[in-house]
Amino acid sequence: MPNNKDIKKIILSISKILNEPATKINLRSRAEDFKNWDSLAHIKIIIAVEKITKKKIPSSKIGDLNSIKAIFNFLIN
Amino acid sequence: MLFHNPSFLFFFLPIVFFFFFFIFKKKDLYQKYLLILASFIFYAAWNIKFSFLIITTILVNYFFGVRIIKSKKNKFNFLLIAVLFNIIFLAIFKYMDFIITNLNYLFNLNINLLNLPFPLALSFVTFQTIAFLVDCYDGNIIKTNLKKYALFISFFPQLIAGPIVRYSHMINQFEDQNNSSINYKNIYIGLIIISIGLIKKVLIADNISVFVDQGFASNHELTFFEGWLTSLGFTFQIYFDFSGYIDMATGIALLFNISLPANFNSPFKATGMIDFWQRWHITLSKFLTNYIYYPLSKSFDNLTFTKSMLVTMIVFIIAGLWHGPSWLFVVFGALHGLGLIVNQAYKKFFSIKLNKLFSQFLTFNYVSFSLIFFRAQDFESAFSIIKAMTDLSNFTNTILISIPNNSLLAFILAFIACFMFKNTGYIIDKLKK
Repeated sequence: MPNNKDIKKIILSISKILNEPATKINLRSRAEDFKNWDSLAHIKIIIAVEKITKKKIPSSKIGDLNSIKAIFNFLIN
Repeated sequence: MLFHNPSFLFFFLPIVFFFFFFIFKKKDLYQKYLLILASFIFYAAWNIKFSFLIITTILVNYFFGVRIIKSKKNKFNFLLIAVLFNIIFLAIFKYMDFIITNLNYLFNLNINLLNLPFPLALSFVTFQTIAFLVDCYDGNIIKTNLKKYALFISFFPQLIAGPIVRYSHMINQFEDQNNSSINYKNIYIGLIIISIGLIKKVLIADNISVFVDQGFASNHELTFFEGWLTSLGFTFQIYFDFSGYIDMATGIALLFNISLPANFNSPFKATGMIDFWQRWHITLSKFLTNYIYYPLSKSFDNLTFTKSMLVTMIVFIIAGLWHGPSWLFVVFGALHGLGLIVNQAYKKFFSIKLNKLFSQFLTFNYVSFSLIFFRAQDFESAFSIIKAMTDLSNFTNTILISIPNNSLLAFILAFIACFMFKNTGYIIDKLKK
């Protein structure tokens, strides 16, 4: 389970990658809500999450983590 | 045996259906064995010898899958050996003559070609198997057995031409007790989808192929209009052929209460190449993204835009080569890689939004252009057609290739259906509600 500091860092990284204000990113945010969340942005988000949490995300899971909720659910489990 | 053959539609399918729901009613173990047996008969009807190849690949990959799941220390080694086995297996049957031809040309050798016939379905089986092995490695699959694995690989509606499915998606449905009883709504939807697929394949694609085949055969003599007609005709032909086949696969699977993932979503309405690959052969696109693009991208410490575009190009060259053993397919893949790179670069560096219709027009024509290399017999033919399409001195309204009325009607219908109508996925969703 990521701590609050990591959660903030993840949200900030995602906001930077998507070029969207951090306030627009919440647990209900999904890839299709952002025009910039394409495959390149997606892999950048995954790399950022891995760096912040130091948890390796298996390749076969990467495609499924297409929402903030899915990312946090994966990190919790 | 193909889906649109009368022997399949009026003999094989009804018999399997009857045994599944009436003889083995609610006996899900027998139902699974029946589907496995039916799938092998379906494959053997094409070539009995090659069904042993499919059985071999099932046995070998099941062995590796179990090893990967159970092993604690050698997981990665087993995965590596298994993936290599599959690539080599595919290479021997599909690419050996291509490799030999290139070696002969490069080093002035005289190695004889093997002329091995290509086992149908092996390209799809290979990708599906690799996805299974990686899922075992990543812990997405924690147990399996030979019956489940054999059914996952061989399930006849999607064995020959996809869609490429993931193990968990299929097994959860096969294991669901509710799916062992007859479901009249699924039969109703399934039959409608099979009919749509048949119309797409038999009435549209096959009729268009009549003048497309002529155009590609007489590529040196084509006028401006004929060049365009041939190229656009093939674009519609391949879409209606493949998506028609996928519709039939989806409908047939639904008769047995199995939902296959969508593989097409009005691809010619795409407004860019990124959008196109989210609508065309979606399951291949997902496989390439999940199992090649992501791992390759992650291998860079610092993933820059340029590196990501390089990975995109590599992925699409592999995708091109997967379609067939020829440099023409490599060019086809590279053109799509290039299209995606341009699309990504435009998104990154330009903020001007193009008109939607203009974007659709550009994307459709670029895809159509790339498909010339997909269909042509050799580069000379491909360039002849491109020359005809661009040679304004040949701008005459004379059409020498004969276009039967049926073909012309099919071409017009294809155009209308692609740009003005909803797709099969939409129809399935509506009918399910």
